[in-house]
Amino acid sequence: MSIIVSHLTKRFGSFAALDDVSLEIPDGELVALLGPSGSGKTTLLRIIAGLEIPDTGRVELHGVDATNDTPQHRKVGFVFQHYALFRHMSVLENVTFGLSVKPKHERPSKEAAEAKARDLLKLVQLDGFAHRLPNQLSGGQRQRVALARALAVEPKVLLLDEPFGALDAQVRKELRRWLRRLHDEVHVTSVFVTHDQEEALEVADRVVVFNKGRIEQTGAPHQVYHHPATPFVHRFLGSVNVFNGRVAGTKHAKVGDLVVTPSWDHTPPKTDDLAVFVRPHDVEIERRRDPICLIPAKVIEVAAAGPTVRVELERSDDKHRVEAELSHDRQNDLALRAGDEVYIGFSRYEVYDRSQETVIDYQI
Amino acid sequence: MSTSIPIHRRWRSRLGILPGFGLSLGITVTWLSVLVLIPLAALFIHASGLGLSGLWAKLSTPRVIHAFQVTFGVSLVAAVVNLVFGLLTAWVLVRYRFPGRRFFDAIVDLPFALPTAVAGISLTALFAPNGWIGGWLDPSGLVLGVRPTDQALWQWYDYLRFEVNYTQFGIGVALTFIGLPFVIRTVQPVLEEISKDTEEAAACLGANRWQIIFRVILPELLPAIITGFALAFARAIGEYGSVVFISGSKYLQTEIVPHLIIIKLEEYDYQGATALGAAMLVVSFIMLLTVNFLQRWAERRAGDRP
Repeated sequence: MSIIVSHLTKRFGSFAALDDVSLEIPDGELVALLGPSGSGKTTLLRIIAGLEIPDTGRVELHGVDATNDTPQHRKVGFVFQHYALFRHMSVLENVTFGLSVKPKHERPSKEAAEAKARDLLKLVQLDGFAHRLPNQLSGGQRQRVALARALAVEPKVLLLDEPFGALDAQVRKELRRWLRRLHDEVHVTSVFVTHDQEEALEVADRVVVFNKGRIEQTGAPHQVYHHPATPFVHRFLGSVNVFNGRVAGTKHAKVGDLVVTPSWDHTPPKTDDLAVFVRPHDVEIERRRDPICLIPAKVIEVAAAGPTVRVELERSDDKHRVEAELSHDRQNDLALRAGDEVYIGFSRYEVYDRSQETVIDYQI
Repeated sequence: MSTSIPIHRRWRSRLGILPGFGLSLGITVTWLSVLVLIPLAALFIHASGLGLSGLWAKLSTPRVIHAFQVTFGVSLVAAVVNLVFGLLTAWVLVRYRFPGRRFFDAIVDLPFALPTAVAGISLTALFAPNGWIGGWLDPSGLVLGVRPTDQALWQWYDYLRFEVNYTQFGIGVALTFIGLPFVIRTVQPVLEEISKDTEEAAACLGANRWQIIFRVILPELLPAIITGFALAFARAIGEYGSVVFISGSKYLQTEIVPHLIIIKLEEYDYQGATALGAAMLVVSFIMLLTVNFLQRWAERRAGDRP
């Protein structure tokens, strides 16, 4: 294990940024800490780097207790959202900085340091920029310099705090794919913080979802996306339709006439108040009532621009709005238009007990 | 036949769409002329009446040369002292939160507002042998309580005694006082702008406290430091009111150029006074120009502020 944190707690005044958080990060993985702002993900990253001191708990780096080490001694690379480059130094000087501040007996010669910096600049595809000043570079280039600078000291772990947060959408997408490839090359254990679920799901080996200072779920991207452990994760990782459900017998629940089969991991809840979460692309639409599509609805709007067709519907029974996503092929078959009467069903869903989740609200 | 664009149109297209260039430039030039250029030109025209040799004769007396040395030398020292302590003060005001911070922050500007004569008199009183600070610097007052009568003891006393009033050190104290706000006020905003991230980045790369200060923070502050230094220096060179009281204007010891000009005027030696003024102007201008270039260089190195 590269990083083990156990029972970390950190409060800022009355605000609990981290509430008893434990996490293990294996060697060589690229892990995303995902959550809304204020959920504690950045605080955890800063505690791992030694930039913040936890109130309680322990940080282990490569099997050694580092809780009381200063950032200088932790040998972690840290990349900031706003680059934090040294403005008065050239790109090359920025990258060699970490080597030049080493104690004399560890410090490489100036030539060796520069050779290494040039290799790193090649790695981040900035070979020709060694003598530029940071303010002569674009945001994406600056962040790559920051990355090269962090890698120059050969950190045992690389920590990135919203590394693409300050960049525009296009550069952001490019850079995160590039980070993935870089990680496959360098293989240094990396942890990055993001509030962008798409970014986390696309880049990371593992995603850790944060909410209100606690870890909601840890798992591979497909796992957290397709099998969210909590309603919060479900909601945070993509848009979702929430249907009111009621318990029907010991094994089933019902949404309107539609029977769903929750995977109760215990006895069914006493309450009748269930929430059935269905992602838009898991909503099925048929023109006729069939065994799957049992809920009558009316098409409100069809938006066919983009990779999928977005259909907005209104349930005929309780007038709740439902959002669905169809492939263009499916829309060609159905030829849906505003005002059409249809039936909807779910191909995949998750059922939650509303009485047990005070954490999230139900406004969409 | 070429389509000719009226000249004012061409000007406008070159200058962009911001209106009022002609008017505002006119006002600026008039303003600067009335306030700065015309008086300075008058000074030079008056001085040129002396001719070069006459000018040189007026300036090459030991008294004038000494006054120049004192003025520029002590001003330089005062500006350096202000640079060091101004930097420190700015650091404390920006980086730490402590009770009374706002009060101290406000106090920094006092030397701007206080009539310099008041400052000079207060300092003189404080540093007099019976003043609050002067008493401490005078070992007789401190240890013996009375001045020694024994001849041998007098020698020790003279040796140990540190006088401020009527010395160049005293001039330095006054000039440091009036130059206090400059470095602080120029460094403060830039220091506030340096993000904590930058320091944290350096710390994560293994830099210790000193390396962070000397290799990351100070270089970024350099342009502001130079500006503050130049302002404090320029202010000190021209300072008169606070210095005359504490310096005592002793012949060949504590005379400064501005006071020497007054002395010349009082002796009805108008040409001498003009010569001094013109020389002062030239030297100051060259020095400020140098500092300006230094500052430009430092700014280029530091890069544009985002």
